[in-house]
Amino acid sequence: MYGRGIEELLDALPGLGGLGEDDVRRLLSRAWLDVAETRELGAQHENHGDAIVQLRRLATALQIHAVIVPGLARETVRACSFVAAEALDIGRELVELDQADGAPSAYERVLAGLLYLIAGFDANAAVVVRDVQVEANASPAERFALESVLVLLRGGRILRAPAVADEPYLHERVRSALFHRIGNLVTSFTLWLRDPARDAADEPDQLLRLADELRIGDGDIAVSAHADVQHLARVASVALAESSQRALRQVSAPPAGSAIFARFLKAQCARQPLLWPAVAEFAREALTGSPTSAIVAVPTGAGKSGVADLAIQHAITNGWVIYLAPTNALVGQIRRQLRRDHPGVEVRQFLGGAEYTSLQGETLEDIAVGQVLVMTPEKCSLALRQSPTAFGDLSLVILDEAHVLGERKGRGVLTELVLAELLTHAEHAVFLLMSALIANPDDLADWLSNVGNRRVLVIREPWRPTRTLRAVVGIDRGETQRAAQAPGERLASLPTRRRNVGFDARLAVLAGLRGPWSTQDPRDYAVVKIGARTPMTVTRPRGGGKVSIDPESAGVRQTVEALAQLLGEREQKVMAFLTRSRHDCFTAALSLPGFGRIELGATVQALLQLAAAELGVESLLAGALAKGAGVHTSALLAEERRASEIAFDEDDVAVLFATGTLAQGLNLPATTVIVGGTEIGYDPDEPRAEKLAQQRSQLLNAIGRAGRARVAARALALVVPNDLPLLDVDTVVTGVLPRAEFLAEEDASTELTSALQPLLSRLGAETIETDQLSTSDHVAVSYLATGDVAVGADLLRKTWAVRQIRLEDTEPVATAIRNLADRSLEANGGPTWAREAARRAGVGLPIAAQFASYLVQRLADHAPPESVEGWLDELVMAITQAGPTNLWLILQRRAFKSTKLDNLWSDDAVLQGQAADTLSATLHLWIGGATLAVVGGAAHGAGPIDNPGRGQTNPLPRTIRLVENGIAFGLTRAAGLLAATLDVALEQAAIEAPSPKSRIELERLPIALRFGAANRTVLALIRAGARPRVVAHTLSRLLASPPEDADEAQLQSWAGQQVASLPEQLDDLDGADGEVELLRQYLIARDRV
Amino acid sequence: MAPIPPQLPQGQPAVANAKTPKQVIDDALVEIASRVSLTEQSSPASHTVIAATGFDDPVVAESLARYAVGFLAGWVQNDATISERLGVRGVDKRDEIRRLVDGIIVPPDDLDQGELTQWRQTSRDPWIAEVLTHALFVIRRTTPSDFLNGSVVAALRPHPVPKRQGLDSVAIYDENGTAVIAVGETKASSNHGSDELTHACDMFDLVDAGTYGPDLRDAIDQLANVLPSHLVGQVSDNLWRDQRCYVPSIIHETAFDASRQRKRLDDLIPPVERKRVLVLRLSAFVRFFDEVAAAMPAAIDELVV
Repeated sequence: MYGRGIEELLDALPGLGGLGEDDVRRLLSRAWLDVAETRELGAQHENHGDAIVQLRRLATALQIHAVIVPGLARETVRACSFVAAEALDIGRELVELDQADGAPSAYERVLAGLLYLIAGFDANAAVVVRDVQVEANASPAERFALESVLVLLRGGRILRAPAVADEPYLHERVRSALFHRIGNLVTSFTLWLRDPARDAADEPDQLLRLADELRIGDGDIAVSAHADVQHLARVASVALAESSQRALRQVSAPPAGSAIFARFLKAQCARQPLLWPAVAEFAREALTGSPTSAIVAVPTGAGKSGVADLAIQHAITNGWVIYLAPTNALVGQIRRQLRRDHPGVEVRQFLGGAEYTSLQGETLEDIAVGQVLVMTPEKCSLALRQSPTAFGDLSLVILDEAHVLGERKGRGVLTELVLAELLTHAEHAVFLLMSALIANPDDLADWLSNVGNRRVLVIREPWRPTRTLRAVVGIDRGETQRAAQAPGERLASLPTRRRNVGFDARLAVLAGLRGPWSTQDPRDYAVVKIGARTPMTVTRPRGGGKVSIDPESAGVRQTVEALAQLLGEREQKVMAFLTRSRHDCFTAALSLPGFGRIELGATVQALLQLAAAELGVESLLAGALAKGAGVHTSALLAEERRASEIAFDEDDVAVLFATGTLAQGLNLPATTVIVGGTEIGYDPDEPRAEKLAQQRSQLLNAIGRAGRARVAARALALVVPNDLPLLDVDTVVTGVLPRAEFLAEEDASTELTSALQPLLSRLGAETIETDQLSTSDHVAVSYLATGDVAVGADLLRKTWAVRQIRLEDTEPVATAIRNLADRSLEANGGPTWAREAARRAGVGLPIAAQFASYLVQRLADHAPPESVEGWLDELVMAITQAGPTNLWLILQRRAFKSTKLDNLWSDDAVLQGQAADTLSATLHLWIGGATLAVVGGAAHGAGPIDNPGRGQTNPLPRTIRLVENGIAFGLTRAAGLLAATLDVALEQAAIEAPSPKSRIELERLPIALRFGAANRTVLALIRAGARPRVVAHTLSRLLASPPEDADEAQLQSWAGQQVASLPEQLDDLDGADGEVELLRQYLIARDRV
Repeated sequence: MAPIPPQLPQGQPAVANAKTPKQVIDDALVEIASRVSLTEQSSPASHTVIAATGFDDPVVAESLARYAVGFLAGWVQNDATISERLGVRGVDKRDEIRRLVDGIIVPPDDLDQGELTQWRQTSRDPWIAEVLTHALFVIRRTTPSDFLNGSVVAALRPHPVPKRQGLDSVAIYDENGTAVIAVGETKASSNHGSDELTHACDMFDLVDAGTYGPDLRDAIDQLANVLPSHLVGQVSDNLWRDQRCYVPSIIHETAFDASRQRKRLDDLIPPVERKRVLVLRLSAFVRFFDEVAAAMPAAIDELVV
């Protein structure tokens, strides 16, 4: 249960009576397993008397050690405090389970909270006192003291001291006065923490003096006067002293000073006044002195966003900030968080992706100092190509999920090139690379410090605010054998053609009592039976024979469902990852019995209605959410995913079924994580080693989601392997670990290497040709093959790859890339200027060459189109003409699978022509605002989809995939390439200039495809925030049209005003049934999207 | 309630040769120590029996009264000092001592004979009995005896208010270089010594169960500054190892067999040599407590406070 962060802390424990650190870990973990076994996992209750006694003894011994031994190292005090707090808290949970006597008093729980604070676990301190009520018989002064500490620990309103009561005895009056004093000092300290303008007082010292005066000295008469008050004052003194060292208010202000920083600080101090270790280290080391970049390699949930917050506040005083995140979902979440946490700061989110467009408002022309721009690396790469001069004022670059740099098949190359270019254009910017999954942050620091003469701090703090107990789920051997007896006998009595009979098998778990399963010591593991069952079968060979239990009959999904139901019923927040297929998630959510009828919040309901309108059929998610199960996969619309996120976040739903990939990075913490299946997805092209590494990383990342710092200090991670083991008391870890090998690892960190490095190494060693390049290689080549070799060489010098392979002279590689590009263009019959079009559009050269030759020829014979629709037809023709060979460079075939569009890759010209017609029809429907049911029906060569099913064989999920990946990602890039080709061709005078309207309509095409709207009014409304597109289409029907002669800027301004004033004009709109209601739902949901 | 005697001006003793509370305590302990004897008896496997004798000497009762008042005075003095630091004014120490003493020895108004007996048995006598046991702990600091297997290095005294829940007394003694935490539980019953010994085990069960951990923690924390440096570091260690000593102290008149094997004692965690049953038999149970109570008011006048 205890990972590296805690292990390091426990190193400082005093050796207690032969009790080593391992024993302490085992004792605490086993005790909490006892709690979880009954409370969460539904096992039969057993009395825990012995464990309670041991925990109390441990807590008492360590508390005493921490306070009476003079001159203890700070780390030892923290270690003793942590273990004591943990023992007290787990002990309390056991007492509650047993309904035994001896539940700790409010005083004891307050002390436990203070001990957590001393150890640096303020979130745990808040949890341990969350429901503490001071006893009714406490005196007003004692109540005031204890409640003042509670306000410090769990937040809440500052208390006023009660009037001094007139107690009959002196010792009672003194006791009251002492409690008053403690309450006043703690309150004063809490105010100081919360209000950066308040002057410091020496509350910790004053409390210590108070405690010291109450201790008995030599020569004193040893009366036990106020021993409890003395101890409270002493512990509070240490807790306050420790907290003052982590106070957010102590963070250095930006050198120039800033009213915005003061506002930020005030709001943050009131909300969460203490810094977590990673943030404290950053504040201490990076915010004073010269500008300092940082690699933040800390576990999930350990405060990365806090680091980013401070860096942003310092950076916006002298420039603007770019915040890169790998997915649009994450971009959205970051934008929402930044707007909430940085009052007064303009936080902008760019909606477009990597598609090239010169459309006004989609570039960085109006960027200003003090702004924060959140975007994907793809969008940034486009911005760098379009507005390189805007980056001169860039003062901070944040890359979230920085392990993306190592993704060979994904965005690694592009992200690295973007960073290299940012290092070139923004010489003075500070870089912040953050990830929970990097094992070699020093390598990244070496790169950044080398290329920019930057001071780079590496933060690799292993601290986490929560602990996770890892367990593998299996079948309880003994009970299953007994349960199988009757069905076995029944099968034997049935005709031999019957081969299987089902029964329910009891589940058990093998739990690890350390963090990673890195030892084979049996004392580090325990098998416990749990209160869930999974369907299994007894079977016999064809034609009859011996009846036996089919060990492979236990299904992963069914087992996960059983666990999720059990845990959800027990008020756990469950994140269930079903790794094999995104379709499993929906199936599981729909088949889960659920937790009764749940009244969903207004925002969730609004999002579901918007989703249904966009789909054109009902959203089955609504039914799942209504019984308490959410879904979070790529087979959902963005509105549906957001509805699931909000419902989970607001505790409306207990269980969220998700695929591993999409939920990565999103802040959706759970008290229990279930990992269903130990193989991630299926990609036949992926090399085995890479697949295993990625699998390991994703699975570890999944279990890292367990833990809600302010809800529970400890969490469960249950792994259901593909092949469930049979478990009993004799089970040894070596028999189980091979089914979930990743559990032996501490965390998901892996040694990253530059994704660009293999290409550069190959280019330095041999001559390679275009057909030897991967998609990302193509991206790199088009990015680096500039007209001037020196520019490419200079950019290469800034890359991590060059630093990793210690390449001194980059010019030969730049030349090789340039030559490769030229050969590629020549081979595909394209002009040399197509290289620039490829670079601007961020696509491979072969397809750029084909688009260039198509466009030049086409415009020589035909007038350029004057509408988005016309350009769309040209795009389809360009794609068709390019043929299937190079199509993979711009479109992912997987996105078109099982639709009629898959024949775009066919070698049969007739089939390909039919596919092109279908593509054209589909895209016209899409940009015309048709529902997904209609769009999907067209793509499938059928009528509108009426089946709302989300299974693997249903058309709706395929349609969502087509729209999100095929159209909004792939075809928008193709449209961008068409636009870039036209721009460069004009610059090269290779074509005659089309009319301004024609150019604007082409500039609009990529955005039109991304958002599904050709009409300029609809598009303007979408860009102004009217989303999903059904809202913008509806709005455009109901509103008076904008002035016909309005230019882009005027149109956008009009759209902005319409969207902003919608609440006021809603009741005056005259719409058909449901149209105004749809807009009403949009208004409910829009602030949360 | 009996009328409170007229009060003297603050700080002035009522008699000549008045003493500070500490002097009163020290003198009283010397008197007691010189008259009592604690010796190990033939014991069963479940516990060790210590016989306490010499308590029938009238000087012991009188000295115990002075000792009790002395530490009540010490308590008041302590509180008065804290009061001053916290800005609580108008403290009349002698008045406070008198009120404390009265709270212990003066019964509530309007009790009938039965209720009065009940009050003595459940309020006054147990408190005096606790003081007695505690005096023995303190005497063991300097005077070797079989009471404990080592010298007491720190001890806390009982609360000034009768019937308070919690541990009666806590002491730490040095057993050949090992810090052992001694927990005393005193029972006073004229005729039911054996039953009271069983009742005392209820409390020790709770100590074994860790329920009294917080009380031990607070007490030891308060004693930290007076613990010898060579023992400070091992207190926590010994707490974890259950290095405790239980001292049930049974003050009674009618003899009972303390030397028979007792399962309740046997079940307690400490080893037999650290389960030390103090058997203190008085020849006149009621008279002893009456004498101590009667002598307490006079002792107040001997104090300089």
